[in-house]
Amino acid sequence: MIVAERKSLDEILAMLQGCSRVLVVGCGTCVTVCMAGGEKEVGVLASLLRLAAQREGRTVEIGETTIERQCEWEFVDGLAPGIRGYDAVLSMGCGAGVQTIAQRFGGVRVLPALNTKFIGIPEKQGMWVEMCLGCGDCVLDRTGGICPVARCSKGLLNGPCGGSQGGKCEVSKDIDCAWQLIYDRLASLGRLDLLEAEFAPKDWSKNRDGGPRKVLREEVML
Amino acid sequence: MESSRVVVVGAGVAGMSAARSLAAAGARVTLVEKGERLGGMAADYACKGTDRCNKCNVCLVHELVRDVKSRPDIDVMTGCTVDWAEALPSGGYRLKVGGREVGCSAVVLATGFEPFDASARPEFGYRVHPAVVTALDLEKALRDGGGIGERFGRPIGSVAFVQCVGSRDLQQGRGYCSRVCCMYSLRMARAVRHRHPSAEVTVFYMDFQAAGKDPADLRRRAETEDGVRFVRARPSEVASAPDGRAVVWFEDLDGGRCRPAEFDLVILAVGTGPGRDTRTLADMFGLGLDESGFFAPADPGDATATGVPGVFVAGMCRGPRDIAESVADGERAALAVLREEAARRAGQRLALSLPVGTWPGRRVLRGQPETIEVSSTVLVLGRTVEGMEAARILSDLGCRAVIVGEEAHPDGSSGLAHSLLARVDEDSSIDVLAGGRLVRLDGQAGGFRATIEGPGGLVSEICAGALIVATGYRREFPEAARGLAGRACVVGLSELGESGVPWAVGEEHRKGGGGRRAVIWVGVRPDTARAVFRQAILAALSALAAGWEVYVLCPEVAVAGPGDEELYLEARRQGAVFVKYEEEPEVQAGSALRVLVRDPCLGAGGAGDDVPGLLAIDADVLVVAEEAYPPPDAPELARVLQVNTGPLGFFQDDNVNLLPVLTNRRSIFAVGGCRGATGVADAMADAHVAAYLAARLVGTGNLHVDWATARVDQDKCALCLTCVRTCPHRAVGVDDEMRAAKISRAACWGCGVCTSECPGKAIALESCSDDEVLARVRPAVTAFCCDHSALIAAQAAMAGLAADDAVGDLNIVSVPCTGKVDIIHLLKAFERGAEAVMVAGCFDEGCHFLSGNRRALLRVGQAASLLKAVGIEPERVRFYHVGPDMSAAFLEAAQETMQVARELGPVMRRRAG
Ligand SMILES: Cc1cc2nc3c(=O)[nH]c(=O)nc-3n(C[C@H](O)[C@H](O)[C@H](O)COP(=O)(O)OP(=O)(O)OC[C@H]3O[C@@H](n4cnc5c(N)ncnc54)[C@H](O)[C@@H]3O)c2cc1C
Ligand code: SF4
Ligand code: SF4
Ligand code: SF4
Ligand code: SF4
Ligand code: SF4
Repeated sequence: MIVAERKSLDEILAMLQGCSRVLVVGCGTCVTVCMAGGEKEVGVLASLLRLAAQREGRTVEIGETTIERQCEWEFVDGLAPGIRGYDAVLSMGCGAGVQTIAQRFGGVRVLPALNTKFIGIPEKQGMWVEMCLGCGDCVLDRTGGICPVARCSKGLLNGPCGGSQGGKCEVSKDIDCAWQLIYDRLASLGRLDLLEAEFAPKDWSKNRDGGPRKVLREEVML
Repeated sequence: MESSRVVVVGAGVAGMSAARSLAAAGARVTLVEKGERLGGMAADYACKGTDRCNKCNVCLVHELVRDVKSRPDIDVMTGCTVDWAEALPSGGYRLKVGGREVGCSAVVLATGFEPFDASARPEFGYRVHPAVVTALDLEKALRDGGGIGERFGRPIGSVAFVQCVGSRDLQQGRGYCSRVCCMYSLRMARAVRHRHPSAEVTVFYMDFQAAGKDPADLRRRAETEDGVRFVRARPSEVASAPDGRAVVWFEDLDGGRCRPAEFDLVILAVGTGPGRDTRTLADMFGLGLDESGFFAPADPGDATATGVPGVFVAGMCRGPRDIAESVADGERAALAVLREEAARRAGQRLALSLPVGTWPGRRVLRGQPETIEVSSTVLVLGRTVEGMEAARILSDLGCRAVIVGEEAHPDGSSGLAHSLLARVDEDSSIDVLAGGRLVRLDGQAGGFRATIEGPGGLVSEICAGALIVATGYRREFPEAARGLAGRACVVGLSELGESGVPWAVGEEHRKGGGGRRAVIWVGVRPDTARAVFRQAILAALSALAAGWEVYVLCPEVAVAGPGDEELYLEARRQGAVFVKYEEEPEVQAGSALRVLVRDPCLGAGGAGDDVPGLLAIDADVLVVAEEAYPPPDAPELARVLQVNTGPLGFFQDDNVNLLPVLTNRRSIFAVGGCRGATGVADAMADAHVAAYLAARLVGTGNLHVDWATARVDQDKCALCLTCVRTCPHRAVGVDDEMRAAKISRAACWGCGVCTSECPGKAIALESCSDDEVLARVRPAVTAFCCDHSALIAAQAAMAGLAADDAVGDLNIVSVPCTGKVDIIHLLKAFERGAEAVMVAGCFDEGCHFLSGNRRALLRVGQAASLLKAVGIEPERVRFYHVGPDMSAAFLEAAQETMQVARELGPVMRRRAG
């Protein structure tokens, strides 16, 4: 799941400078689940924008709506009626959502309310952690199902650095050393042999190197 | 029970609880109260919450009053009593009540108690010395709010509590412990310190009688957090000092001299005696009284029955008990009435007729009525005496019971265990899956699917409407004595069996000839002491009878059970030596058993002693009272059941609203040892109440739900699982077909916590949707009040105010739980022009929905920081703990909030120029 976090109110208020009619758009999928941009957060942010304006003695009109997924043309289409009446659209979707709305509605100012953070899981209620970098060339088969690319602070592929101490990463004692986790897991699976195979330098062309990536599947195309 | 009427006499907590329960089971009830108002003695008490709930249970009383008043099926008559009674030949009674004749099939007497009149001990100066008041006076002062000093017209730099006034006092003819005063004083001591942080509080006591939820923790907090001083001494006199202060004379333990100490205020912890009308009523109905003058039970196993058909007793009138115990007693009496009724009807099984209500029958919002088909099978986990007893009662009530579990726990009550085993065996409505273990539980109240792993890994599935957890407890030597287990001449107290210990047991353990000296070491936690202590004294008595010399070592003497003080005194009379130690005894290694213990009562004095008061006892036998611990698999079982456990790991949350057998999940009950109630009598009482409640819930095969519940709009649900995780009652599951969350109406308590947590705004609470809440938010200072606590206080506060000294335009918005308050509601109130907003609800650990108030506290904190982020003063949004009886505290909170509103003015700033 995509995990995001709301930008600070100062930042949001600054980008809305001069806008008096704003539509806050929530996304009903990933960011609802990670509690950053669902219907509830839309209500909270809209309320705060009105209060901020009241505080300054301005009048504003803040619209609220939440659509199923901001990254699908069909759902985004639902915003068409009325969207052009606003000075700005404040998207509470991830970066994909913001851009989809922007692309669909030329001439409309679309602004991000969230910082899109990572692909991760709720480790527990209220705490999300990064699990996958979307590197384009998955290695989990060789690492016991624990991703060194995303979860090792340095993205090392051939075992830990010297900073691994008592299972913790030298970057912070709140971070588990991914390579310790990998080792423990492989040990429990009886597959420490996997560690003997050397990782070749990672082929980053499958990631950012080749420019924006694309997945194309002709068999499902219309 | 369509046609039958039950008359309940006395509207204290016990009477109200019985009336409510009987009405819920379909009986017509007349509740007769001599006074002018409902609630009994406890209606005058104060919530003793400080920074947290201190588990005094007073809040339950106020709710109970409201419940009873709001039930049309309870006919309440105040200002009258039963003038005469005539037994009818067909069974039942004709009674004359307040000039009216009432026919009824049964009578429940719940006439309560009379507090000891402190002026009967003139040496304590009550009504003579202005610095001396009773605990009842203090209850009222605390309840009315304001300064305690002002109330009594005294400074309040130092306060003393004097325990056992009119209790454990043979001279007053009150040779028993009143059971409730140690705990009420402890809680009041905390409350006094909380309100007057500079007051120094001392408690003069003989022995600390622990009861209720986690008493040891309360005492520890009182001592360490509040600095309350506990002095073991029985004051002999309260005199006047020249400066008007009171002088408490007490016997100093170190040295045994009488010493004076001066205090600004002395509180006499008055005991509880039989109610005024007990004897008259006993004569009227032909009932027996015990030697202290309380109604005597005819059969200890069925304590609310009197032996006279159609007459039952509940609450304090049958002996000292606290509020929670009295509420449970009311339930038990209701059960006993119903069982008798059933027996009368040609020995048929009781077909429970009517709606169950929720229990405790707290007021809930009404919802769409619906009848849900449920399984009337009840799964009992644990083949303990309490488990088997519950199954037996369930069978009487027409339910099928399935008992799963190991052999019965050898419970020091083996006679009972054997007869129950036989009874369970021959009952065709009870199945036993010996050696089975619950490994998985799906479904919800009324329709659980339990996966049981039998011996040899055999897996079976049982459908059950309700579950009773009766897995017992684990017995082990207390920490300090752990190393002694298995040593020669050391036996566990429970190994000695019930009363009449065969002291030949000593012979086997005795080395050689010589002295016959036994040391009985009762070093258990206070919460288990009550159950164990009686056994210890019985053991001591039988040893004495067999000619042994006996020492009993214990930190406290626990004598709060019926007849226990008498037994204790008897043991002392017969020569048993009781050593109330402060430091754990030491058992010296080596071949002989030598127990070293310091007796603080012996004090210094003894010249040449290195350690004052040190005794060295050479014992032939050391009997160690075992401590109770949760069964080893309790954490795992709790996880499977999704049931909360308390601080010691026993089942049941630490919340006062879950007394005595409820858990956080509807229709899962915890009874006896597994919830820490290790005494056999307590365990039996639990079994009765739980069986009755389970039968009421699912016994007819139909569960009538008419309370408001939350519902998920499944189209909007993103299946984020927030509701599944945050519902305090675990009422939310996943609807696999719809790929959405789904709330069980049978299991939902209607708190609304999930509705304000759902990030998709996909859940609405019936009768209290967000729109309905927001419709009540208008441009004014707003107080969101919990329906179960602050709202009751607010209503009382407002009723007592003249229109013009009201707090101003305060908009009170009631919510079923503060957890229902959504952050959006708070922000919207400001948007609509509120200058300040307060949220008021139960104390921490006192929430009616367990954790709703904690959610609310987080919400208020979140709102404050968000407001700050947009330049609005965070102090405009506030949270207050207000118990239902705390109208004064509510007013203070409201005034403070209004003050903030006035000072800060409107949120909206006028545009400059
Ligand atoms: C100072 C003090 C403080 C306490 N604090 C606490 C506490 O903090 N927590 C706690 O759990 N417990 C506390 N207790 C104990 C608590 O008071 C009892 O547990 C509780 O009141 C018992 O309820 P009850 O219904 O049995 O009796 P009661 O409260 O005595 O009620 C009996 C009712 O019956 C009525 N009645 C009597 N005779 C007749 C008649 N002939 N006809 C009709 N009606 C009649 C009475 O008017 C009364 O309303 C305290 C006790 C004392 C003395
Ligand atoms: S827009 Fe972003 S947040 Fe919304 S569904 Fe698509 S990927 Fe998830
Ligand atoms: S909340 Fe209830 S139980 Fe807790 S201290 Fe207050 S009245 Fe007592
Ligand atoms: S020992 Fe018993 S009678 Fe004495 S104060 Fe404690 S509870 Fe009351
Ligand atoms: S909290 Fe809301 S969105 Fe999440 S699972 Fe529950 S109903 Fe669905
Ligand atoms: S949180 Fe409360 S309202 Fe929601 S499902 Fe649970 S019990 Fe019902």
